[in-house]
Amino acid sequence: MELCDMPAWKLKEMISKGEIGPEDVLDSVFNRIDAVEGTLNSYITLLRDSSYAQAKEVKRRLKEGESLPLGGIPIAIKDIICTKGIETTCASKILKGFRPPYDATVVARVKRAGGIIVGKTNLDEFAMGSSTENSAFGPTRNPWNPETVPGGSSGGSAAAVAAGEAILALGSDTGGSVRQPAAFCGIVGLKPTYGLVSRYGLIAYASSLDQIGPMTKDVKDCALLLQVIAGKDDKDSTSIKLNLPNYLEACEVKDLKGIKIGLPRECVSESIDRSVARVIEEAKRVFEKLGAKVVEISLPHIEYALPTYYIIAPAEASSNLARYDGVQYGLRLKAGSLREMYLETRTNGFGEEVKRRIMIGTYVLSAGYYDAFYLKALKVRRLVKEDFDEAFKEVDYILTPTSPTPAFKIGEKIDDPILMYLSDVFTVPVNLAGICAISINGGFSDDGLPIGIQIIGRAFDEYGVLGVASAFEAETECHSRRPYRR
Amino acid sequence: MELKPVIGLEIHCQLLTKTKLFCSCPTDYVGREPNTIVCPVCLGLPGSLPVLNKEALKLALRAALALNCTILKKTRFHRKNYFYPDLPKAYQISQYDIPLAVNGYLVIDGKRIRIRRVHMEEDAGKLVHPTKTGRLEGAEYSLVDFNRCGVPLIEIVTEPDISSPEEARNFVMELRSLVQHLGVSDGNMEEGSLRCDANISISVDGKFGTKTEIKNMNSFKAIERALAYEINRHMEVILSGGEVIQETRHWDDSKGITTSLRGKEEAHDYRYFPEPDLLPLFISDEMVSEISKTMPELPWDRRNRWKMDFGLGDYEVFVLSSSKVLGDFFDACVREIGKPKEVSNWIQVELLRIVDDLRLKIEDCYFAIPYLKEVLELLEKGVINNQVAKAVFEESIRERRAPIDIVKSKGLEQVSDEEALKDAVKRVLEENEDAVKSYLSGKDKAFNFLLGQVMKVTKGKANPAVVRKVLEEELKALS
Amino acid sequence: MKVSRGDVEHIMKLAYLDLKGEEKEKMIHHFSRILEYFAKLQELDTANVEPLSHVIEESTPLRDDEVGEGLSQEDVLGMAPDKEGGYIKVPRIV
Ligand SMILES: [Mg+2]
Ligand SMILES: [Zn+2]
Repeated sequence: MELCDMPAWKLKEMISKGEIGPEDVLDSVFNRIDAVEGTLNSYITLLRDSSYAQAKEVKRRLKEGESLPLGGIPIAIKDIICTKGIETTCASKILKGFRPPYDATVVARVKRAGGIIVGKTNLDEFAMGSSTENSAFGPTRNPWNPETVPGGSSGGSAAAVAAGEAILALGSDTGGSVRQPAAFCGIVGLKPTYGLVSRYGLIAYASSLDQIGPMTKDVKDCALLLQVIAGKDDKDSTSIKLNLPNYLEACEVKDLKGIKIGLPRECVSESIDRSVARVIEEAKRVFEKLGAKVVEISLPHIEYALPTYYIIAPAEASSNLARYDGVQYGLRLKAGSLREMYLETRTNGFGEEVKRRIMIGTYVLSAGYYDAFYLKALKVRRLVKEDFDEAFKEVDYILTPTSPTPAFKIGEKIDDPILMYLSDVFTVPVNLAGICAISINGGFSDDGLPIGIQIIGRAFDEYGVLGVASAFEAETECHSRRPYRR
Repeated sequence: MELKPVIGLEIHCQLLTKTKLFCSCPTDYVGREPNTIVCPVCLGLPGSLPVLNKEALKLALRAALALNCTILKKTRFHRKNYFYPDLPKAYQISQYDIPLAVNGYLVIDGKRIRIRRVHMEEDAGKLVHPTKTGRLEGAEYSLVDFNRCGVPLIEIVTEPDISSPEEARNFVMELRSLVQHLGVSDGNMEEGSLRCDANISISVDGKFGTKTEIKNMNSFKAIERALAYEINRHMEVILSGGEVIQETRHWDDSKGITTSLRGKEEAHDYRYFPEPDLLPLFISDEMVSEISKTMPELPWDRRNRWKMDFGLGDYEVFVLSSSKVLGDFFDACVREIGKPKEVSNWIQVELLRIVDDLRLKIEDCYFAIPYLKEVLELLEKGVINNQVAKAVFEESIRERRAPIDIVKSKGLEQVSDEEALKDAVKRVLEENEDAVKSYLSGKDKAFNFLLGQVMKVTKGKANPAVVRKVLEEELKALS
Repeated sequence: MKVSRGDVEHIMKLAYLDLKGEEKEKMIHHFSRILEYFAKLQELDTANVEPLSHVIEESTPLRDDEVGEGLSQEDVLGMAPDKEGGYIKVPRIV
């Protein structure tokens, strides 16, 4: 097996035993990048030179006896997370050339932990999309089948990890943008509880829903990366102070005796793909075999979650994206007056889906429509959250498909926004409720495309969720398959 | 038909914190190089997030409590969305449906002006328009400085309880004095740390009229003039059978008129919604009681003290409390000198004029307290007369020299010796035969003229009481 | 729910977007479809439901009033598309 196809925890062991050095891992990763990036387009910016410089520095720190949780591990960062001095574009023309003068808190923590940032990954512009087709830098392709999308919006990060173009990656998840691409690319993606991971330096799409999450080859790596990025940050008022557990310990869970898992009847309807239904059925049996009790539950308002999300998220986005006006940074198109400059810059700088969401968001907040749309959505948001509160009185975890279908064809849904939105029907409710969920590979479609299962937990029960996922992984083989492994 | 002006005010005060409302940049932007006290947060850079300044909250609460408001225990922030180049996020973090405090009042001349709400918000940056006038109109381009951006403000909104321009001015003066006494704001209108907008309408036989909003009143005088102008304008429209249009108007201080800025239909749609980057704000009882306990002396308490303890009159205490620094200076003088009535008089009549002439600030005049003390002693002992005392006090401040030195070196001691003054009186009587004649023919006015002449030839040093006595004697001898 | 052309034009103004021709027609079409989709929420009676704006029910943290490090004028102007004498330059406002 090539180094780039190995999980971080294993590479760490090899590095610490002196069997390999951080440069060897980088060599392997960049070899893979050279081989597949032309097809996949996972990255917007590659940091080859600085990676080797970082590796040198990490070696020095390791030699000095520093304990580095990510010492020498190549990591890819979604290009919506600020990196000091390194162009951060959000896959938008409007931020072309923008070099933030500061690091996002997660980036600072990754660096402190000895992670090596190899590049900035592609995404749907401003994280708005479910296919990574809405990028000013062209679409990313799914390493399992380049005819299909990698999911989105963190499609670049998902494809990079799946293809061995990175060992670990960070994505951001507002309505499923970590979990759905993780599912489509056959990797692990975690959406942490709102408030667990600092959003400082994550360029906002919808601030009340956004969370940064790990995207990794297996559950243990997910725990490893979560440990590094989680925890209170004084720069983010919505980050919460709590005693962090040792997430890696969660991965030692071997059976699920005494655990109750709920399967919402609303999530196994006829609208999901046949192969997805099969994978869920198989997963249910695996969990039962591990000793868990799987029971049917109901989340009665889940069918209202998607329209609710598509009101709240664009509303916040319309405000968050108003700052891109050509005054201070990024794109400015020449114009005779300020008003024309605003119009020219914004109309040409934003892509179609972004403009659509800005328009919708502006509309639902505008005078005369606020109550009927935005306020209504906030009320339904509470109902969705209360569904989960009720369910978690009965069960410990909830199992759903991550997405109703496996990866779809490039171009297939791009002209039908509603159809595209449906891809997030099972992930969106988790963001609305502010709780946590993980997507892990649960099996494959008849066409050989990975299919993700989602395990939802209570707020701040990442430890438990990782444990359940880890037990499932130990019992199954599908997670170890890699698209380019020889 | 009975026409009555109805006025409500909206006042923004800059809070006296060290750092901005949501970031750790300093707030002292006056005189700074542009764009030098900024950070990702106040520049609204992508990915940056706000964190609330505790001191700003405390100052806002202190103001709200002093304004007799009810503090809302569960409040929150909203975003107010609009595009302008001095607003880097394209929204202002402000408060909307649940402000920090509501339902207060401030008493002006015995009348309660109700306070509708007090809330916190962040200031915007500043635009410079490189035209000759510095005005926006006609500027080919504009320049943006973000140093002020994010500075903490409180907005105080009154009910429409104010019924004249004078009352409005007095309200703002009292409010300024209050925030200064509280240490909440320096209340400087010229530098914009206190800004006032007004809503005006005319009620006709008790029925409310259409209101206009007036902006850009940058001094107490401007408030009074602008409101008087606007009331007049409304009255004329109503009396000529027309209708007032709801709009926002701009006060042009140099022309002395208001002009239309934007109409109702152009009014902004701010699309307020709860700020997701901040959690709600819960105000604990402990916090409120701690702030109540540490409340400094309020202007009205101070005025009462001066009246009760010093026997000062209404007008005197009004002037002395018009700014906190003046009141502080007065209190310091009384501590040092005693004699509150004389000190009050000297400060109001002499010192304020001198300070104005010499372009000094009251807070820089503490060195003059020993001078005033000495001048008052010299006066009391009869070493100098009142007229000389005033001149000596002024000179002592200008030259930073002890009054006694000035008196000695210039020989300004009062002459009270009757014999010495008799010569001067005789000479004056000889040189002013006409005045003497008219006095003797019964015109008493001539006496004062002659007295003035004696003071003149004695270079003001004569003791006026002694001169009077000698003059009376000499004139009697002539009759 | 159909959205009117006038509504879309009004929203364009508020959002500072200037869509034209085919792009504008497409926007009107999708806008209407999305609003129809939102109509589903009207099935729910939410008269007695508290709106949920923040999932975390704690008070916002407070920061001590201490000066911290900021950015230099160079940093600010380095990002700016146009500048003059320490300021960021913008075109004519009126
Ligand atoms: Mg305001
Ligand atoms: Zn700042």
